[in-house]
Parts: sequence; C-alpha cells; structure tokens
Amino acid sequence: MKNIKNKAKLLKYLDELIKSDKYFKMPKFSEIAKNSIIFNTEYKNLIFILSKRTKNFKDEMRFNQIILNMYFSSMKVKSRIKELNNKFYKETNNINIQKPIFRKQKSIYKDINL
Amino acid sequence: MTKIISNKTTAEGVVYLDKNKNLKTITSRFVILACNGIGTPRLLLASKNKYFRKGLANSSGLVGKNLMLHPLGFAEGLFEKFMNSDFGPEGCCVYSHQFYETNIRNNFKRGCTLQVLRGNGPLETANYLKKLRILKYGKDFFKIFFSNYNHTIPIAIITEDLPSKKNSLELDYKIKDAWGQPGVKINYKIQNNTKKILKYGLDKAIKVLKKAGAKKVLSFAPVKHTGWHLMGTTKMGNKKNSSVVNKFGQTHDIKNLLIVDSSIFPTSAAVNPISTSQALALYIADNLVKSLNEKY
Repeated sequence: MKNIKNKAKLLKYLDELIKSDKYFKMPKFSEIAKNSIIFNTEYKNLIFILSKRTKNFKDEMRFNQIILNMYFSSMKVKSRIKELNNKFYKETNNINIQKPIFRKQKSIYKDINL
Repeated sequence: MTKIISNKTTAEGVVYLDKNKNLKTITSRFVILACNGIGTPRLLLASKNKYFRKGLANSSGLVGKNLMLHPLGFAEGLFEKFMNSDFGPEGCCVYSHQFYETNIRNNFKRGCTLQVLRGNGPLETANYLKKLRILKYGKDFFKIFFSNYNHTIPIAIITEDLPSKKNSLELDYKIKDAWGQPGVKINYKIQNNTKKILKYGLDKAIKVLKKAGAKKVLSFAPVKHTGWHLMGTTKMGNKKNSSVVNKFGQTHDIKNLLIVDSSIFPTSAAVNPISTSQALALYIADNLVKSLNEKY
C-alpha cells in the first residue's frame, strides 16, 4: 500500500518506477504525462490501485497496462527510441541505414525503361 | 444479412436488417457469399426452409463441417547483438517451405511453414516483458528493456490442419448476437497429427534460432487466441454427396448461389489463406462473367 493521495505525488512515484539513466536519456514519466489526456482521466484509477492493501493479479495488470501504454505511446518517447535505434544500428553495423536504401531506390528507378 | 431466400432450385435474393433493425429484402439473379469460414456456413444454416431442412445447399450435410484453423506455434530467439528487428514488413519477412510436404520419415502427414516475423515494437515489448515478469521497475528498467527490444527474432510455425468432420460449427439459438441472429457454437479440437506437426516445427525453429546465435529461446504451442484462418466449412469438390460447391464456386444444390471465400478450401495448406481466397474469388468471378456472356 502506498500513501499517494494526489497527482504530484503519483507522478513522483511513477518517475521512480520508470527511471532512465544518463546513457539512454529517456524522457521522464512526468514529462510525457503533462499533456496526456489518458493520464488526466486515469490517474485516479492509478491512485486507487496503489492505495489498495492487497493487490491481485488483475490490479497489477491494469496498473502496468495504463502506465506502459501511456509512456510508450507518447511521441517524445517514440522519437527518443528512434534516435537510440539509429545510434545502436550505426554502432553495430558502422553505416547509416537511410542513405544506401535511398541511393539504391534511385538507381532502380533509373533502370526501369518505361 | 439474416437469410438467403430460395426455392427448390434457385436463390432469389437476401433478407437483411437495416440500421434501425427493420427487415428488408433484395431480389437478385445471383447470390454470392464471401463471409469467411464461419459467416458463410452460419448464413447457409440459418437460411433453412421447407426445401432445405438441414440448411441451404446442405444436401451433403457438410455445411459447417471440416473446420480448419491453422494452429500456430511460436519460437522467439533473444540475441546479444542489436538486430534492428522492429523494422521491415509486418507479418512475414522470410519463410521456409522445407518442412511443408509429407515426409515418410515423419510420423505425421503433411507439414508446416516456418515464418520469420518482425520483432515487437516498443509498447508490445514492454507489455510482453512485464507479463513474463522479466521487466522490472526501477533503475534497471531501460537496461532490461533495451536488451530485449530489437534483440529478438520470432518464428511462427503454421501447421497444415487436416479436415475432420468432428471439427465443425453449428447454430446456437440460445445465444443471439446484437441483431437477434442465432450465434455460432464451434466444436474444435486440435488433432494428433497437428500436435505432432507443431512439435516438429517448434524443434526446427528452436534449432534455427540457436544455430543463428540466440542466447535464449522462448517457445510455445499452440499460441492462444489464434485460429483466425477459417477454412473448409463449405468445401469444394466434384461430387454432390462429398462437397458443397463445384469447381466454379457454385453450390451443387443451387446453381445461382456462389461462395468465394476460404470456406471452400478442401484442405488448409500451411500458408496464409488470403492470396488463395483472392485468386479463387477472381477465378470464380471470371467464370461467372464468361458464362453470362455466352448465355446472353
């Protein structure tokens, strides 16, 4: 049971749950929740689940579903993940994914004799 | 659509409910059904009349029988290396038909297709890892997340489900849908042959992933909530007593009633059925136009 009674305390708690380090530099939960319509409608449910003395599997699932869906469907998070993907791709393959595909497409179109 | 109107030899039109639930009727020269392996037999069974007491076009008794579903197996390899697997076509990137045909060395008939799928997206990965209790909140949240996201290669095993009369559907008059139409009761059990194919396919997929360097492989079968390929319930054939439609998609009993969906498949094959359904629909439509041109 957590003693969380308002939105600010809930956000602080959620920031601790989904915590990024300096390496990944993922956005904080509170950053994405600022303009989130879902958070503003669902935060009372989250507080209710956290305030329960005993949580069953269904509660846990509901809690995880709300916060993970909210976090990972945010544009800020998506674009950061995209940046990281490109970074990891470059690190593993040592090339830029965008350029060769673009060049290849162009040469294919040139070869087609319509 | 609630019912097909017919006399002894001809379909005359259909009855449907409009948005206010008023019954309306349309008459037509042809009735063409494309409601999938559940919807088509459901409609035929619901259209029984004094000429067809067991259901329309059901003199063979095979409407709703031989339901085939493609039970799926799933194996996912976790790799140390960044695989960029959340990139590429959704559904199937690479497939193998190496184990597709019957092999006399195996103790089962027919086989399976191995389909290499695209990896999960970030949201699906997070939910999936959390469900498996791998992802933990706190300072290691993203470390665990990024060591799984884009590091997996999934392989699906599509089995060739054999036709069996025991796997069937019937109308359920107790449970009705929102429009007051009878529901569908499905009697389906995975056959032993299919179970053997699933096991064989999973073994092969695990072997492939391990050989490719996966540090961990997660596998299970059958995958829950699959069975979205609905086939075989109004099967095609030459004989009236052992099939529902002929090679032109016409029902044997009523010539101007045609079926153009996956329910006419006599066997399920071990591939996604949509291309075959589309090809059959085009073929049946071409033949229909051709025969009309010749007639008129």
